[in-house]
Amino acid sequence: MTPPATSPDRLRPISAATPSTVSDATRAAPPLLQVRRLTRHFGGLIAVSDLDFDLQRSEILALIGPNGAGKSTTFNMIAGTLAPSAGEILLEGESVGTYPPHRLAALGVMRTFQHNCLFPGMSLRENVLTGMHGALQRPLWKVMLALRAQREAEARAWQYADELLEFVGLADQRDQPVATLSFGQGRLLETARALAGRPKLILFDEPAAGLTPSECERMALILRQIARQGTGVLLIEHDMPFLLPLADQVVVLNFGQCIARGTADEIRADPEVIEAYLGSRHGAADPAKNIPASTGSANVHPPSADSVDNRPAVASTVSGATSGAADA
Amino acid sequence: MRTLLLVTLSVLVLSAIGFALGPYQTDVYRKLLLWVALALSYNFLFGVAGQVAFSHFTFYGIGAYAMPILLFQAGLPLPVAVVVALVVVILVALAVAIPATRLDGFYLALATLALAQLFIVVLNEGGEVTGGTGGLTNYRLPDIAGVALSGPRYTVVIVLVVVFTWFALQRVDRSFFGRACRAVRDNPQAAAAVGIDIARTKVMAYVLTSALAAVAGMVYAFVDNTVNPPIFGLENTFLLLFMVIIGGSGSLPGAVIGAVLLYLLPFVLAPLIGHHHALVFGLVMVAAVLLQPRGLIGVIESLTARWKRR
Repeated sequence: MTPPATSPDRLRPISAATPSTVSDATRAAPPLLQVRRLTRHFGGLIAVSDLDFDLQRSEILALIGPNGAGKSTTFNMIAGTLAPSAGEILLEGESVGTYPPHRLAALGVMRTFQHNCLFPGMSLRENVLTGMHGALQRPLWKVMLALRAQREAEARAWQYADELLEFVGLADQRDQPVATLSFGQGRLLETARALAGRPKLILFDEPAAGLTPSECERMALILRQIARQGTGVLLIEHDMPFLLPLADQVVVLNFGQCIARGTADEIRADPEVIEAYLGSRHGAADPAKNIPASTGSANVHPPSADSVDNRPAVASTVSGATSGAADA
Repeated sequence: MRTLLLVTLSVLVLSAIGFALGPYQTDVYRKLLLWVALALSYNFLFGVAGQVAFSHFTFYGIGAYAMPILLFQAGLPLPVAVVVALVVVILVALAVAIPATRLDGFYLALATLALAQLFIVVLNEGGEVTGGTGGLTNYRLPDIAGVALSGPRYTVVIVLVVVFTWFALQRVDRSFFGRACRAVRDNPQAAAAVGIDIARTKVMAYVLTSALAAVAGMVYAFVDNTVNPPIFGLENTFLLLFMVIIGGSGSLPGAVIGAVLLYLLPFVLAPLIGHHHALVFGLVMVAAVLLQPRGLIGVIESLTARWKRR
């Protein structure tokens, strides 16, 4: 059961979902996220070493690399579930490397999980409402006694939750329990829940993994829309045809080190990246075989030299699929 | 507005029942109301917040003992005694919860079990203050503004406590805090990711429900006008647990159903089969857990759902 075909009105901007787009004040402010000489050891193993990158507001940054490159370690350090061994993570100039996840969420860093992490006993709407925890928090005696203020705050929260469910295309099922959702719909619900926290920075752990092609297209549209509204997006992804047309900046890791950084085009052409992914330059017999038929391939496949090299083919499929979806 | 109407209506109805009863039924009715109040708050702690704690009756006991001790040994006026008792309860609850919630559920169970046992020891060995094994007796509630709160009038006080417990917990359950408690219970990792402070949520749930149990205990102190150690033993703690499980953990109406059923069951069965009622009790418990983990409220909900579909 896939969500209905994307229609433009379903992806209208959410009112006040995120801080407004760049103003004079924010232009002078430090970048949204700065990662400085970030390092993590596990005993003698160096999982991530001296990693540096910046992420601006409205930017989509993809963290890629072969298995074991340190993507997840980096992701977990930024999400607060793993403490860095050395180096710094700065959120709007504030050092947040040692903050636990709930504190980061309060500062506007929300995340999704690779294997959906939803609250099974709750309806879709309640799941989204948990994302607004920070905004709804107040002393318990007020909850018990200030009935009108409490009711109004809840009503506003419900309305916003419904808007977000509309945004990801799950509005029809908002009162259903989570158990009724497909995997892809669960991913969309997690996205809505993360957006409910009005994040400045949103972290996606392999957003396309396990999705059907049409769900992938939808996810790509949603990520673009989120970034357009001023939120920084950081994602780990294996699915190159999904992420290359999406990412403004790509950081390539291999054995815990950053081996390349730049736009998707620059990364595609980088010999070191191709080397890291393939080990050597062979097996490029039939380029057509390696280019996926559609952008939203559900397969988690290591990109071949051909799909990396064959830029026009990938780019055209992507733009075709995207505009097709938008027109539908 | 609707809430106010419901509160007033339920207070009136439950109080009216109190005025209609004879002395023996009044005693049963009052204790039933107190069991309902305890089941409601324990249901939130066990069912909604998912904390397996065995200290609920202990806080009921602390509240109950605090009243005669503070009023007649310390000589405090009633309002001051109530506030001091609440402060003591909150401090004890914090002292148990802060270290225990840092550990996993199993250790909370152990820590609270230890507290429950310790409390009984303190009561028995408390000398003059707690009255030892005989407990405290021969006291009565001082008149409030010249009015003696006795008979059905005191039943109204108990009704107010029960109704307050219900509506306070209902408000809390339907707020960010109820969702946070369920989130922490169901998936701590995801709860932290959406900004919920797990330790804080657990401690707050424990302190809130323990304080509500203590308030019920304060009221209980003047039901029998005597408090003694056996009332606050583990037997009643487990009865409370069974009430919540059989009624349907996580549901306020379920807690009420469980408390009413299990409290009244012996009164109905004892004349028929004598002490064998414990056997029936055990069978009901096993059947409830095996057949309907959501408890009687689960049975009722699925029946009404089927009925509505017709």
